[in-house]
Amino acid sequence: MARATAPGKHALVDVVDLSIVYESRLGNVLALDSVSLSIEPNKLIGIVGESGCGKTTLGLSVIGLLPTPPARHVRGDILYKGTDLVGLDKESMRLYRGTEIAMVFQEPMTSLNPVHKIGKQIEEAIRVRESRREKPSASFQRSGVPTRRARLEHPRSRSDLRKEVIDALDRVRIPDPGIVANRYPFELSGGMRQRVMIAMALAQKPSLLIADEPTTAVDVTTQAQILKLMKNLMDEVKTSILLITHDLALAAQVADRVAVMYGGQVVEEADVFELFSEPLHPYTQGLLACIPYGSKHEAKLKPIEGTVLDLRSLPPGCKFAPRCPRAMDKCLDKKFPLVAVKGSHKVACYLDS
Amino acid sequence: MKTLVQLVTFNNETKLGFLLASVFVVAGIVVGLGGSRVLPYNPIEQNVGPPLSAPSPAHVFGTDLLGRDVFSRIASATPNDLMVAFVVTSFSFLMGLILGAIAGYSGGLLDEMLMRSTDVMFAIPSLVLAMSIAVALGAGLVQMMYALIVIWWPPYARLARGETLRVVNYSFVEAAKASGLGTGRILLKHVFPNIMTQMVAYATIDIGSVVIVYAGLSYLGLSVRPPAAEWGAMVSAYQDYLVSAPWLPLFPALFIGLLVVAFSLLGDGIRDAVESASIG
Repeated sequence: MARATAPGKHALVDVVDLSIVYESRLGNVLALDSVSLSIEPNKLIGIVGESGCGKTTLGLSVIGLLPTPPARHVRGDILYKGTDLVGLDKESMRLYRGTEIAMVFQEPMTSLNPVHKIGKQIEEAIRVRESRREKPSASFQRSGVPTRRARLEHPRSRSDLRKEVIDALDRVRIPDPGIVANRYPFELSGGMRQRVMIAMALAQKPSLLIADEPTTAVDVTTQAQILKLMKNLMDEVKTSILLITHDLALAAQVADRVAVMYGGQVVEEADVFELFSEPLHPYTQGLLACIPYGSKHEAKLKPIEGTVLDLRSLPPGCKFAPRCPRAMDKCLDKKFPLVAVKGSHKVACYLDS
Repeated sequence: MKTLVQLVTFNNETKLGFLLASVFVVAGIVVGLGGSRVLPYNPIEQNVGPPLSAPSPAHVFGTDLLGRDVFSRIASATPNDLMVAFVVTSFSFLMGLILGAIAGYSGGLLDEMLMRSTDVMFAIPSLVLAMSIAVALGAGLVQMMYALIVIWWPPYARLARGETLRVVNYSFVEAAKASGLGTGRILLKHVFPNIMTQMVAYATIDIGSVVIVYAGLSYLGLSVRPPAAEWGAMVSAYQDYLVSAPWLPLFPALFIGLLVVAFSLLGDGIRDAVESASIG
């Protein structure tokens, strides 16, 4: 157990000064640059940013699924309930996946195995959870989960398992869960499949659910339903959600707290209301300015000038400085660190210091 | 069960192949279990009819120089031919499936090592290699099967690896990893079922190829010992009568051909059916 600190005082997840680099023949790409982020228990935190800003990399590194190589951990820690996940070997990390940290992916069409029935796949998720109670690793023993003996005193029958599968489907508001459990994935719509994915993830009772663009592949109506569902379930099953999205409006609807990323860095982090009513970083302000409101006064959207960063050749100072309308000379030389300016409102910009 | 029926009746060629293959399999089982009792004559008994007689109602495929009934000899070889074909194919299938899937899934050094060793196998002419192995082990049915399995698995490993690489790109594998499944369970539950159909289709066609190579090896005298009958060995023994008694080498050769065609048609149909219904 590396770097364990006093429990209780902690957020659920503390990402501290995390830097990840992708190594390639064309040059190294700094995908995450000293990212620090806290996820509080039972909170929905949104990570917002444009393509290639490192938001998915952040999600994958928390669940330990970054492909290494090409990815390489440079520095920093990911503290999960006080345990540093960075130093863990593959097998110990695996035991955290699913039951502690789960993930829902972007493509609902390919996220389910086409050869197994829906019910079987959820059953498998439940089995993973059960098997961990049977063979608890050192870290799980401490957390006081039932031992093998306790499990044997309450053996699970097939009908019991079946009932839990149906409950899991019912929880994500799937009509006729008993029938759907016997269906194959191709018989379900995209929105249904994404709900099944959420049901599968939540059946393992994780403390953290990472949702990587969960609604990008489904239509807008379904998107709203799924997000509302996730938000409701968060309270029901007592989990935190890390919502990765490029859609600021979507984050505004459901998130408790939002972190805005640019060029592998968190440029601003604040409670959702605070961020949207009083954005401090020029990039956040720019993002908000290019959401269409449909009012007559602003007939034209204000795009952010310039293009998305080439992460292989980053400017030495603030990553956003070359596109920033209010950039000063010192911005180009040295980046201002992410600091709290007003309560828990953090921003990385000279303007607000 | 319904899908299985759909598979073997995919089109007319498939139906024909399925029918022929079933006849062979049923005949093989009946003869294998019943022995010479279910045959018109004892296949190794000499002078059951006049030597070198042409096909007639009494001896449908004629008789050979020693007066043995050719039909009974051909029929008595069916179980052996089928057994070799099935055993070699299934062992190669299993070996290839496991090695190929592991190579494709794990990648890196292990993948390199396994795939380069298949390259080595591909570099050596397989029939020559099988012959050397069979000669080294001595003639005999079991030795022959060993020799064939050694040369037979690499294409299966290649296929399994390629299919595995296709499957691991689907996000359900990523999702399985994210839900904390171990490598073994991911291979068993998510990779194998999704590469199985392509593997089965290939294996079905491949049964015919095993029969050809097996016939080739026994033509060279490397399988069963005389007087036991074997199709390839019969072609070899009877080829001297190609002019004087052409039915002697013709019928065993015809049966080799029929068996190969049966499984090729069936396998081809299964592959078409699988491809028209595969994922992605």
